Amino acid sequence: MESVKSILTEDNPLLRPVFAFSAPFAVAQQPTLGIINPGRAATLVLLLTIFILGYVFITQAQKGKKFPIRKIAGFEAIKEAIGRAVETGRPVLYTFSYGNLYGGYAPQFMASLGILSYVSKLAGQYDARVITTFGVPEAIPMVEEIMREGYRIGGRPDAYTQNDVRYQTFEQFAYAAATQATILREKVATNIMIGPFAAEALIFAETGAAAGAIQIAGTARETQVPFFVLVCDYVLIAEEMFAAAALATGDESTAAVLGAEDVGKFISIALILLGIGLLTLLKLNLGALLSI
Amino acid sequence: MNTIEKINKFLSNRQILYLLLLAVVLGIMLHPLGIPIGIAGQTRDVYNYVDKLPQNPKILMDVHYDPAGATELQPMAGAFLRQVIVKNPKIVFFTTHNIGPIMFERLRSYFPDVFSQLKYGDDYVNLGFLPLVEATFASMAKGCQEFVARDAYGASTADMPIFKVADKAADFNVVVLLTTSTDPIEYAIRQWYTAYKMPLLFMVVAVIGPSVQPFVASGQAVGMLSGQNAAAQYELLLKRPGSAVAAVDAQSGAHVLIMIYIVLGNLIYWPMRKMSKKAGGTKTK
Amino acid sequence: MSSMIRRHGPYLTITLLIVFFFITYLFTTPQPVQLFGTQLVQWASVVGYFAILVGTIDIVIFHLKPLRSRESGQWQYSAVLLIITAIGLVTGTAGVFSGAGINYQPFAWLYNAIYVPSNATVYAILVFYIASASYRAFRIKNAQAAFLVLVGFIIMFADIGVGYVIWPGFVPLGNWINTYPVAAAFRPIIIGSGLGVIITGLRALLGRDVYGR
Repeated sequence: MESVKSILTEDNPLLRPVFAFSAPFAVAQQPTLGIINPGRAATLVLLLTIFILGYVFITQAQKGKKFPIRKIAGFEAIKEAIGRAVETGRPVLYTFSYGNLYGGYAPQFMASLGILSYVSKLAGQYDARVITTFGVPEAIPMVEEIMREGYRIGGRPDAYTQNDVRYQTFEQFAYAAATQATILREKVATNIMIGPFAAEALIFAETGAAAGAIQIAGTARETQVPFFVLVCDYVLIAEEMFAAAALATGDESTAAVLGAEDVGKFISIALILLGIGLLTLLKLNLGALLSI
Repeated sequence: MNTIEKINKFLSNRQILYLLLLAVVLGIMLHPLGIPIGIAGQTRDVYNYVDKLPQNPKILMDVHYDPAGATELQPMAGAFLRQVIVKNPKIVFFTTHNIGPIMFERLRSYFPDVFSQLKYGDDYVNLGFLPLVEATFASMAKGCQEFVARDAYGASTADMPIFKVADKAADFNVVVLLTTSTDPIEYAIRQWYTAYKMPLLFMVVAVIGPSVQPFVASGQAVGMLSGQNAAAQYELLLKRPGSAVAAVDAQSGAHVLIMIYIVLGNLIYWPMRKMSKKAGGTKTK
Repeated sequence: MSSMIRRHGPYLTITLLIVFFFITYLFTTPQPVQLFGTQLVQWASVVGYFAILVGTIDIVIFHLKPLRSRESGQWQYSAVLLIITAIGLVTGTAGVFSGAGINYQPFAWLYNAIYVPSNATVYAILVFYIASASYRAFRIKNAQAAFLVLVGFIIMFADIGVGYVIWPGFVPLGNWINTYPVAAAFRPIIIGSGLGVIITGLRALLGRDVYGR
């Protein structure tokens, strides 16, 4: 330990930048690593790693390699929930929050649309009525197309009604009030909420509970996960939503990139453990090193 | 129906719970109890940080909230401005929320004591609503004046003296983000802290406090005020109690009612479960 | 050739733009390249303004349909929405031309008298829902549930004056819980979500996103 410690000191020219970075940063004094912008080398390495892994896995999937995904209870429950709606003669409500498709939550919207296509296919198979409410204006044509196709593939193209595709508004609480009213007025049997919900999450969940609906929720917005877990019957937490979307579309390359995501998680765990070890044993700040 | 079942039916009735909650909150708001408020370490850290800002600090402030968040965030913003005004600050206000312009005007009208000491164009400026949060943050860090040619009132920013000293990332002593959502937090971390190491001070609603906490704990933000209680604590530290302190009593009352319900619910739960097991019925929920 | 451009052109353009942004973000680039990147980001903000306009037009078109067809149970709400939209547009535009902007009296009144109370009210509904959800969900069925209720109570006491009166230690204890265990619990979700976003973006870049097709 002592010999290792003697190497890991400020006198070691290779590590001098690490110790320099332990002090609070001054904006004007960022050293550079050649052509890489200051503070972004670690980002570059991590991004490239995940991109390369993702590409390799997609290529393998195209060659026929299978990437199995474990059972996700929330996803498995969708079929049962739609079946229940058919039995009771009441509709299914599918909602995926408000916002825009060009923001940071676009991947969650995309994942939700993938699951919507699955729900529409099941609705076509079982002759269930699906009402979709949302507050994303750019998604209107996409949702109409997804639902129309879903009902067609399910075998009941005539069951699709454009009136059941309800864009409300991109204003958060106006959308919340409108969807809440839809849940109560239509007396939905199944309430599926998958998307980047904000404060309206609990409003929908409690309203669905009051209406007696079976509730399946999914979000990667960490602030709303506890509310969904508290109230809903099934919850897809964070990347379970992306995994469910992969299962829903049945696309192997979608499942393959989840493998890359898992490798990314292992890298994160390794970095966390390394950081804890370095800080505890050697008083070295790994965060500073990664900020080169 | 025996006593236990009657109590369970009473407690399970949502309407009664909602009425009780309304009565407690309204009652306490009309007749405040004056319950003491403890100061959390995190609030004290923010107060101390602002206190240690140099004279004539340059501040960039994003008013990213709507009326729903104003109850918690407006008192924080006002208290911050009241603390910092003694240092003759230069403040660039802007908003990335479409309701933000109205919220800024309300902020200005609620704290005339602060804004009467600031000269528009010299000491502060309101750049108005700027959409696309992350793109705006990236552009503002490179230069506010170049990015925004006209302020919220249509005046040209080219001639404003404030931008001679408070324009680019390196000029600002602190960036204050008032927000009800985690999106701007992440964008600020990416575009301001990671790129320029600008000090970030977050003022958020209580519900997103836990998810912003990791950024504060890792040092990516200099501090955080989360929720109405933190706002009340901040007001007390400044010795200028305001609307946050006034509302905290009612918040306490609501919390106590919820806790009483949880305790009673658990006291009823076990006898109900035994009863249903004896009867051989389904599990109680 | 033209069908190839039509099919792949948009993807290729967006991919090239994204690669350009990656390069300017990660690498030190010559000044003209940086200036071009800054301009592109500024144009993105302009796109944001148009997106708001598109959303407004969409919602007007969407609600004109039930109004025209007198769809039962819906047309009245659509009528109210369209009337309010028209009033907002007219007063807002009048405000712009009058020079008062958002402080134009009728517009400010609409905002302060209608929008602000409505917005705050719907948000305030959450406290009732939290109360009923907490009552239903916080049942001590096992050891983990008991621990959850205990920690929940500590956090609630830390947040209210009554807790401080009962025992001042609730405040620093609640602060500690929020700073360490809670932050540790949220970090994996944040990391997982971030990785999910990278992966979904990669899939879109490679043209492998099947959602919405």
